[in-house]
Amino acid sequence: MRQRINMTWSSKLVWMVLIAAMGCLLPLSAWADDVSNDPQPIEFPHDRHAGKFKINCMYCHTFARRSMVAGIPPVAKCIGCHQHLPSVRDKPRIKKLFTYWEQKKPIPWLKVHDMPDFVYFTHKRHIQRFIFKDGRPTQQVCGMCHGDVKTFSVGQKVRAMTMGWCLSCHTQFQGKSDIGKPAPAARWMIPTAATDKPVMQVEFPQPAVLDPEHPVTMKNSVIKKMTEHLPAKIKDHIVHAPHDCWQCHK
Amino acid sequence: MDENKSNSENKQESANKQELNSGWSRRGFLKVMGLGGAGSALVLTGCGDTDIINAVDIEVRKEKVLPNVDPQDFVRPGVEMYYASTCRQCPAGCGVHARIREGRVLKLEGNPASKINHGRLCPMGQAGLQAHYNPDRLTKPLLRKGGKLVEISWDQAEDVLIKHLARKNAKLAWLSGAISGHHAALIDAYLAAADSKNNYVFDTLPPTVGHAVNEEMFGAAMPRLDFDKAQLIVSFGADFLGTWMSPVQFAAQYANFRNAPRGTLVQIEPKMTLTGANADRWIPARPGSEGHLALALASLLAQSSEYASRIPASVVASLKAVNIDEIASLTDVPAERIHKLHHLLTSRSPSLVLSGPSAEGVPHGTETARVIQMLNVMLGNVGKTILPRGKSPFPNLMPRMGGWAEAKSMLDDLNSGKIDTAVVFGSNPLYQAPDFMQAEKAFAKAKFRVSFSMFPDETSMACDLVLPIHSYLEEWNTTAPAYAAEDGYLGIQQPVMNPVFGEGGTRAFGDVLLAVLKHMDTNYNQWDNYQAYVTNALWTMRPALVNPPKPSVPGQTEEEAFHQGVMATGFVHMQVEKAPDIQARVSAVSLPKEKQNTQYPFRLIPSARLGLWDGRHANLPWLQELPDQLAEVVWDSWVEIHPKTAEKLGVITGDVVNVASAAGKVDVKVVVFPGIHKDAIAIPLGQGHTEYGRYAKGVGVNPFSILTAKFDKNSGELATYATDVKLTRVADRGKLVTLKHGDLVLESNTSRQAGRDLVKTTTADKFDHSEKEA
Amino acid sequence: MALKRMLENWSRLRQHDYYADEPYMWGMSIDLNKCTGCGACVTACYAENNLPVVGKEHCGSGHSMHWMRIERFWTEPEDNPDVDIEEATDHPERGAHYLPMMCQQCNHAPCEPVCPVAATYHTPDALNAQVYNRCVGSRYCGNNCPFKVRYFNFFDFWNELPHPLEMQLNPDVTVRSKGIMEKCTFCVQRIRSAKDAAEDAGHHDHVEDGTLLTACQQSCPTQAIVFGNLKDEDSKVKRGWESHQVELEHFEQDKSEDVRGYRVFEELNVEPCVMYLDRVRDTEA
Repeated sequence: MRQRINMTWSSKLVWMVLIAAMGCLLPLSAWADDVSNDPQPIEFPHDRHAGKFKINCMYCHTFARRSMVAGIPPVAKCIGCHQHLPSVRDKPRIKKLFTYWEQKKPIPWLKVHDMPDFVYFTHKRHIQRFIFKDGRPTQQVCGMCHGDVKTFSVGQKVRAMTMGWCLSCHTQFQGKSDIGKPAPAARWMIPTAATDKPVMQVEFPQPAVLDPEHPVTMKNSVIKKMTEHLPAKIKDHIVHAPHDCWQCHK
Repeated sequence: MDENKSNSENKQESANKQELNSGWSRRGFLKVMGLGGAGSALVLTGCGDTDIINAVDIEVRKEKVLPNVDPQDFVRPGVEMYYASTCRQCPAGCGVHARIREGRVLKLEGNPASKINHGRLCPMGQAGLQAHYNPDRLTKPLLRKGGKLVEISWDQAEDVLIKHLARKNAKLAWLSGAISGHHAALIDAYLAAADSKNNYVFDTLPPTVGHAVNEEMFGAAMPRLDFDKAQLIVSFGADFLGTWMSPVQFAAQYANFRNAPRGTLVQIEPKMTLTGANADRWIPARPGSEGHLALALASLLAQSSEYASRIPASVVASLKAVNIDEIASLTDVPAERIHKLHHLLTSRSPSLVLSGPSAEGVPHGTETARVIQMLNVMLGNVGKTILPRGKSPFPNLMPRMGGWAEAKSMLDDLNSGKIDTAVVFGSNPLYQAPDFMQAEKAFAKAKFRVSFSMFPDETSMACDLVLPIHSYLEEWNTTAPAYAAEDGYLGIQQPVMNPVFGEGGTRAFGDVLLAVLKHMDTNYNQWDNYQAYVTNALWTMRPALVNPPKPSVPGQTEEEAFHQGVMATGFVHMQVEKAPDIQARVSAVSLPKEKQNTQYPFRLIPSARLGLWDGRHANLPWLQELPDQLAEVVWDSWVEIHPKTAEKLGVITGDVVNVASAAGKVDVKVVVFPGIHKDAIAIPLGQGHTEYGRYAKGVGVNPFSILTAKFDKNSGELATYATDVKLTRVADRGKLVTLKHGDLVLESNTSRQAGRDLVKTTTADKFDHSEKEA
Repeated sequence: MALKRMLENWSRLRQHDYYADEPYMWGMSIDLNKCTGCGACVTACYAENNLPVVGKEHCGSGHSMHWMRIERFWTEPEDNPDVDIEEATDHPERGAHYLPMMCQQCNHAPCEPVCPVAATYHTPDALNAQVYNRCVGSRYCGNNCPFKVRYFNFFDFWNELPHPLEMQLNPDVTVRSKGIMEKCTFCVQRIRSAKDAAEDAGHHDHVEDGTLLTACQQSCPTQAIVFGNLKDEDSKVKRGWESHQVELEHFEQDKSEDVRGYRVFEELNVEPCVMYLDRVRDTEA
């Protein structure tokens, strides 16, 4: 079932007031995922597969390089190897695996990494860029978002996967290895408030494209001019923030 | 949400304006930006740490993700796949490409290779998905026990079915909707095995009278029509852009017809159809008088020897008696207009004259169609825009359109006790048949009634055994289109996804019937299922096909290559002998002069619309919410009345009137509508279901129900456009016609451009001139 | 204030070369000579873009969510300057006037400057974007739209969608909930996947004309709708705009009289990316 955007404004208003009123009392937590404690049907040990035996991530997650989604391997793939591994055949997890196989039932995994409905994320572009173009090691690339999977005894989410978190990478990487090619994303990065006035004087600064008075996207040259006044460190960041919301939202 | 985050932060920040104005802190700035990890070194696995509040509900371990058990090459997560199949939303049989993601069909698109629809689809074709995923689909067999339908298992259902159907029974009757391909062949085989000759086909919209006349005059029920070549189309009520046989195909041809040099379209009909709305000249003729208008044109043409020489002298002589002025008053078309039309016909050649349901659906329908087709003969269109059809090598696969005459003869046979077991598949006579036919009563006389149906329609709910069948997107089949662009086209259907309701829910019609047939004829044991039957039939047909697919990959067998090729294309072409030129047979026609019915002064037009069709798509919410192309009404029934007539009756849009014929009456809301003759009123088909699921049940009225018993004498077809009615005002409209629940809802309240030039119009001369330059 | 800002923005946008170095500018042309008003595009849009069916009551309250709608006009004699074509009779003898109407993706979009949260803005490929997760539902944009093609989710129309109809939902398109404005996106999900496919094929910044069809264009039985990249000199849509002498950056076209192209409400200087071609009628008939 698809997830819907959860936009109840009344409840958001309550939170806004709460946060505003108790601003100093509330600690800023890292992120607040809606986590269930239901156990996975099989506690799949990534540490054995990816860690001990160094199986390439894409051996099982075959779709990562050609699709939006990485793909959960079909049960047959597990069996393909495990029928030749009698040494672990009697372990409870493997027994459970074979039960699913014999009953021809899919394993009802619980999804660990779930993006909201309004987010478009494609594995393909990331894998193609970092693994196949830049030639980085697979585990390093997958680890950017999924953490050090080779140490996980059971799949877990270790990154925030919030928009700010996405941007934290995109400010660093955007366009940089697309040598010799125009990179639209890089050109459409703009400062906080794309305004003719210096950024610092904006009364209600807003993130990225949030300035209501400036609905239009900015050209690189315009951005450059507008960020002249800013300290170098901040300038670097805002110049490199992706600008076009529709690249990731839809 | 991100904006929540930013807004709340804003509040915090604005509370401390001092900080804002004095150049706000880097930390605050970055928080607002939604950025984190500022200045951190480029550590690949380390980037992305952030200290901002996240209000997005990212769920972890809440949703299940189910992998396949075995890898399937047709399921690629996140990657869409397209399967070729054939649309069965109407008898036109367009080719479709179904877009599949993760094993679900998401969208239907036209098959660009198909010569029927050239990659396009109509609204009904698009909405096929909602028939497939309809929440009101039957998912369990139903058996009548103690007067009530109760759910039973498929095993029990099969036992009952075998008991009643798997035996020789001359009193068994089979009723299907318009049907073709291997479904038709299998039903033939079953009826032969059951020793029954009662094979009825009933569909409401196919132009049966026109087909009979075509057969008689041109030797083919449906000669090929070349819209493209015609410079002028004069259509007597043939709604070829809307509901006439193959709308998408004709619309594609129409688009070419409208290219420069631009063809001209004249539409003659009492109620404007979608085609009429696109005509260069729409001529409202008094309902039922179209034949006279054609006769007037024929007599004018006959004055020139060029046209007269194409028809027998005796017919020419019979045309001498025609008086144009008399016809002008009879048809309510000014004599000047008739002369102009004659001039147009003589100055534009080749042309194409079409005869449609509003002209044919009268007691003298056959005669009317004959006169109209005679115009084609006189104008020399036969052989130019009307082309012969070759005979298919497999006549049993060819489309059977059926008609009212067959429905009536079945009901008569039921009444007279000639039938004890009735099987219904794809037809819904209890909804469609007019009240005077008393279909329900006749149907009740059968001892055992079986229905193969996807939905709980009126007829199924009156049956003793209801078998839930697959949608056309779940089953194997072949379909021959009602009107083929090229002779010998046979559309292939394959399941584009697993059955929505699983293996235990619905079953393929072919599989169920084949199982019955196996009990009667052991020859059929050679096929495991209907898929095997169809694929094997196609393989045996191979020598008679044009360019059957051949192996292209090493290691592929001939048969594998053939089947894969056929499935990927979505259709095959059978070799058809080149047809001999049409030798038109024309005979003299005399038409009765109808008198005005003083008791029932208006003629009822049960108009069909592209969308709900004859009512079979009333359960598809997309089509209920698609505004009527002309009246702009959604989710309702209405009666269209000309402004002048409405003024006379004292009604305005939204008022309720009682429409009464000699056979019945309905209450329906008024839409004052300029595109209708003053003597006619129109109630669209499609609504008025008493069953058929949540979206259809109880919405509007069915104009078929009040038709009177008038039949075309030659063909025995019901004259659906010949019912006279009277109107009585019943109630005022609600206070706010478009804003109140229960009242009529018009999707667009404005009919005027108010000088805004939204739709600009230019003349055909200028168009041809500028297109030539471009 | 808003107006001042809007005008400032517009003046910047109207600099001739503002979008000059961008590879894409998506545009459309609709030939009213071919459009029959059948509604295939409307239903195709419902299927592609997860548009909710709102039911009769909501339709009556103006809550219909048809991103693509077909306007139908009858001619009233007093409106029509061209009496040669439409004579005053009791019946519309020249047929209906059909106008498929969806978001015109204005380059000077009036909806953009009024959004208090910049949920609607202009993308580099000249689309008028609507970011659902930004939208707070102020409906200013809808009120400022001269074409009335923005639709507001007054309710959670998807909440009671009966099984299995939800299986049809397109996973590439967000299912919108209550309080969100939405509108035609020129099938941005198709644009994105076409760009993605072009990238895979090694064509950076070039989507082959004809490989990308919007849902309405794909379905149109008469192919009245042409969609493509106005920056691509060889694209069908660009050639159409050129041969019908419709140019961007004009609110009054300087074109010869016979040419059929026009943009609706061009005089408002909103710079629509959709060109219509005149409906045609034969005066001899």
